[in-house]
Amino acid sequence: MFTPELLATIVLNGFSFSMLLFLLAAGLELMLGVMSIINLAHGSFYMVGAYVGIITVKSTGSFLLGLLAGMAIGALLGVLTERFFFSRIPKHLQQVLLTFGIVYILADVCKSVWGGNPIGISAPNILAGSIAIGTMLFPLYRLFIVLIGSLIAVALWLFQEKTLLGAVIRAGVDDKEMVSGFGINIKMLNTVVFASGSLLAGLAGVIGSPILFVYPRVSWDILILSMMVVVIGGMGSLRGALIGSVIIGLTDSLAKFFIPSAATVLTFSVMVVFLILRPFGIFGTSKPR
Amino acid sequence: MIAVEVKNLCKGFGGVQAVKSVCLSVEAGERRAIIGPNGAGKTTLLNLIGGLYPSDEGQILVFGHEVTHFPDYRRTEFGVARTFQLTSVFFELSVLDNVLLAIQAIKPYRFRMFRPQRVYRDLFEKAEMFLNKWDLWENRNMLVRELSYGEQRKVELIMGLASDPKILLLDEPTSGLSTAESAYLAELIVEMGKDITLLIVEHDMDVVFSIASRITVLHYGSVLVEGTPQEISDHSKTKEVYLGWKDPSGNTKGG
Amino acid sequence: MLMTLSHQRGKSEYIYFVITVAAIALLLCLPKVLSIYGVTLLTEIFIYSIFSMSLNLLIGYLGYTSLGHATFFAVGGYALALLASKAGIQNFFFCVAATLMVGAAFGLLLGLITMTVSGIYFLMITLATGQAFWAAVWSWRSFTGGDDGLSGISRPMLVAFGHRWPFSNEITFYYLIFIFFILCLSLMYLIVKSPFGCALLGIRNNEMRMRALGYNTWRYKYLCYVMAGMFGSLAGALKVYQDCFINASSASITQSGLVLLMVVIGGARVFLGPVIGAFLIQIIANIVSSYTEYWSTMMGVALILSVMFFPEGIAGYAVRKVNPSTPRHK
Repeated sequence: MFTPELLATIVLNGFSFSMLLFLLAAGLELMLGVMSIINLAHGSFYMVGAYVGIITVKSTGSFLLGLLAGMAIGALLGVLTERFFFSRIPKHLQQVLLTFGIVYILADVCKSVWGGNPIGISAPNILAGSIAIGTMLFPLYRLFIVLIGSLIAVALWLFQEKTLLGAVIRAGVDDKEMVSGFGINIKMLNTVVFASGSLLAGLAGVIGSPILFVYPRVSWDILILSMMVVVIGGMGSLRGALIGSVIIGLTDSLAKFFIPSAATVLTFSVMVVFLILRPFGIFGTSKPR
Repeated sequence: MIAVEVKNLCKGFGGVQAVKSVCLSVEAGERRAIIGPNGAGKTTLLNLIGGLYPSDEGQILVFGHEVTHFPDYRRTEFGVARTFQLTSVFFELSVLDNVLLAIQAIKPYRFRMFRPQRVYRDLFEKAEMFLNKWDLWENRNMLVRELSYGEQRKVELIMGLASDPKILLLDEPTSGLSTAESAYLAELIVEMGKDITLLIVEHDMDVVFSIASRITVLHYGSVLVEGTPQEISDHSKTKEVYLGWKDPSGNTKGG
Repeated sequence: MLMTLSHQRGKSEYIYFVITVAAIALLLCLPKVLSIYGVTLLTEIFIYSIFSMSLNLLIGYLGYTSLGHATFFAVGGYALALLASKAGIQNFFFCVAATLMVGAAFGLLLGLITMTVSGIYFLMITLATGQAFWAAVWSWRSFTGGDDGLSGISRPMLVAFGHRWPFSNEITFYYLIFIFFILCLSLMYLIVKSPFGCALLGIRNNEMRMRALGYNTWRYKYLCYVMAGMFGSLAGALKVYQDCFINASSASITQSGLVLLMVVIGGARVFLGPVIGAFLIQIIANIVSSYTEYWSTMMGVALILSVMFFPEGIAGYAVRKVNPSTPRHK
């Protein structure tokens, strides 16, 4: 029976998934805008963050610790990749290929440590259960995801609009000399950007684990979804990441409800339609980055 | 016969009007220099005539044909060719390959897929001719990246000439060259420009006055004044705009 | 020769010619000494060579890195599988021709989307469209068999010159594939040495200048993409003939990654680099997978090492050793 309550649930599910995707897509967009690279290992960082977070929660019983662990491992992986690898290969394309190699390795690492079976956790007790708004019941955890996502979106927006670093990022300036003329160390900038994006990915991994299973192949699945967001939203645009996430998240949720067997295809089709109509995304430009 | 005619051409970037209602008329065989201070819109004007980007308003005619809406790669059909201020050649290819590609661009077989390029002897003969004339035959297999800056500029010029254009747009051809090299290049340009129409954007006044038959002065995107070199050097506004340049008699004006 | 279009007919060209003839002779004789396993492996290498060489038209010559090339592999494979098993068409030449046409059709359609963008964005779009196609293949079980795939495809049966040539014999199949291998490589060689191929290199180096010179660069890029797609589809079809089976994994990101790995490790700037890459990867895959299940790690490590220490690939590195004055990889 299709009721307003059902619709509200589907929309909330979609929206919470959107916020999860936003955490990932925002990181990708930052890396694209500042470093002109696609981090193909982004999904892998999500995956490792999820695994580490889940293990932490299971062993310590604290969801908060799990969140912190996920963020920490994400940031760590980001810093290591950037410092150890990227600094040695100057060319963008080579860096992208390198992240591809990392995907392969992390997939096996996770498979060997945690096995190939999907794992997950249940939401922490304070966030389990539902809250009633009017006649409708909303799962607290989903609302929590929306809250976290929105807070981070606001924080990122403030950062972009109100700080010098943010202005530099917004302008998409990748002229090293010009950037250092602002007193910003480009090497530090790259490391910070990459680490922040990876931190968000790790965080997303933990936040997502009560609603999505984690398994070695999830790295590609979640990367593809994040990339669809970037494709729709436009490269290097944080606004695009938000709009794109909402579109993909809602489409995914609606599709899974109405035509579950073809849900993935439908979501992809939406992306393809955008590609045909606006190949550079809603907020993207054809200016090469 | 008018080779290039520009009518009320306008182009803006964001909030800046780079070219404002410019009108220009260049006779066939003329050597027209376009000068002006930085930001006057000279390169933009050249880019518009070359078709690198579309204009906002106005018309561009080449030998009477309207080319305003044609993209850059179609303008060669009308005999237009250009060179770039920032050397824009194929650095990772050899000198010979650069020239071959340039000559091949107007050949009917440029799309052929199943015959090797070396079958087309006319391509090589013409390349040899150019390279010999410009003293680059010895280095034909060197990568352009390995050449000196001056030699790279030569390759840049050859690529502009390779299609036997009727109109050649030169964007600061002597940019970055020493006085001696500039003078040498200016001589070459005068010699090769005998049968074609030249439109030259230049800063180096020595070069301008040795090459140009007519000069157009641009200022803030509009035409300030136009005339023969003598008329221009006498014109008071130009002197104002260009403090400290030499007039043809060798005296330094302004201060 | 690394990728400048040196035209001199010097000693080096004759040496290459002799080496090529010797290599062909060797490959023709190998089935006599190898086990059936070795013959099958070599056949697989030929097929993957065609696949990797097709991708290199895009990567090495046009300069566009695609992460979705498996799409064509799957398109060709499924076209053949569906024709042979569901439509029951046995005529070998017809099937191959049809595969090429389907590959071309996909290239013509996809190229309209993908060839509007370049660089990193092209990488993203090919990845995204590749996954979209995979999702479609995987979901449309009634047509493609999804993960279970289609089986029961028989080896081609050629009827010519009054004889029947059954290719169910691994050795005769080897020679059939070898002919395709030589044919495809020769065609691709002609393409890259032609005016068209030279123009591709120009576009890779400086597209704006090519346009200023008078080249309609979009047409070149589009055609290059279609050709890469056609050769890729052919490779996919030949693989189906070898395995007599196909499933959705042939369109997966793993497959796209594999062929990209072959190009990168072999060397994108040397004509035969991708062949060497295919050879190395297939050998490693087959040997490694019998010792350990950490094939994925090995691929990752190989890719990372290659990117960091051999950016020009094994072939590029070797060419540089022989002729130290060749230019650095850009």
